[in-house]
Amino acid sequence: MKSKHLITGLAAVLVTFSLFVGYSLSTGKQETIQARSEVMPASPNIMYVGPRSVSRGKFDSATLADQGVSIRETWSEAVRASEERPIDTLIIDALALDSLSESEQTWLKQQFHEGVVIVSLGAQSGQVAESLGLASLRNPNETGPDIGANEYIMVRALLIADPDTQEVFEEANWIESLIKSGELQTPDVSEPFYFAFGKSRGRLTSGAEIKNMFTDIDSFIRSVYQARAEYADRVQER
Amino acid sequence: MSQKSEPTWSRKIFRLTLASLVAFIVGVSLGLRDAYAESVSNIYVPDAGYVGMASTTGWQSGGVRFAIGSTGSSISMYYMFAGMRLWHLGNLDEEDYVGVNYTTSVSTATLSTVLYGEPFSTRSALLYSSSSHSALEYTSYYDKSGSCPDYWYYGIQC
Repeated sequence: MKSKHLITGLAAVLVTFSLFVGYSLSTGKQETIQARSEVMPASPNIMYVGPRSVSRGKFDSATLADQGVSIRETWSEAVRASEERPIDTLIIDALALDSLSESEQTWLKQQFHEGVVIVSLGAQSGQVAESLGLASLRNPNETGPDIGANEYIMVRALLIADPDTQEVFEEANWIESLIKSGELQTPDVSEPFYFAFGKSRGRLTSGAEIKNMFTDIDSFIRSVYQARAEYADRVQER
Repeated sequence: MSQKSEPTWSRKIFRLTLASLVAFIVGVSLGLRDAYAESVSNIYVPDAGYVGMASTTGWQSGGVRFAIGSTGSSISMYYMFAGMRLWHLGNLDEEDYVGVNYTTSVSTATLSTVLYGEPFSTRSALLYSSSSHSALEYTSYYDKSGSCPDYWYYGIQC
């Protein structure tokens, strides 16, 4: 009789625990999945993280003001701001990359995987790759110098597919494969997918190159919104 | 002797608007020099026939060169890829790769450069079915010196 009560009690605890875990997992998932718009806003949200007194070549706080870039001096400010309005591009000074905590890095990687254009100022490509959870940003055939203190590197990655297809791509290490070879073994999947990986680098020592950097940012942002809209159309057509 | 009447204000504004419009069109025409596209059509795609297309379209404006790489076909492909690269001093200064399935066209983002030495090169790949072989083509802008695997993989101009 006593053991029967014990088993009933244990079962009740187990059921309550499972209910709690299940609920936590599902609500947690809802919090992390942020719906992204398919329509590009008139003024995309370009955010800079780093010291307000930035000075790299000809890139300084006046450049940020001219280009309508909002400034966040700490990662926690950037994370809070992203909860109010989704970010389209993050421009990160090398000094800010140095102070990245584990939770902030998780947030940064999530932004990168959601198609946010990441621009790093003055950081070596290895440090940028590590911050994004990648082994390298350099193709093995690249033999030239790495990123200097007055240079930038920009990356944009986007994978749009259903969760099962996304898993197939992640298992194939799709971003690393494209960085290494510029090719991807065609995944054998039946559902629609769209993937894109792009990279751009340049100097910050002339106005023309800085202007070109913002032109590439604009182009990458456009491509992300266009891809989302086209994918939505394709799914609707099926 | 007839005296020519002074144009009215509305006529003056109309003439000024017209002159501004013409100047704008001339300005745009001068700014957009060297519009060029290397386009290859009727590419043979195994199991599908001569249905493929590949191109690199580029133009120059305000001291900057722009380019976009595209792949297309007249019938739907199982998989299609367009990748564009620009090499400079041993590095890939610009690159973008896009892949889509069950489609008839795919394009890279528009990339730009202030460097005038090296070409933009596009690698186009088309696959008709999961069991077919791929069709491959290389095109480039501003000339054809990037339209080969050597430039795509190593930055060695053709």
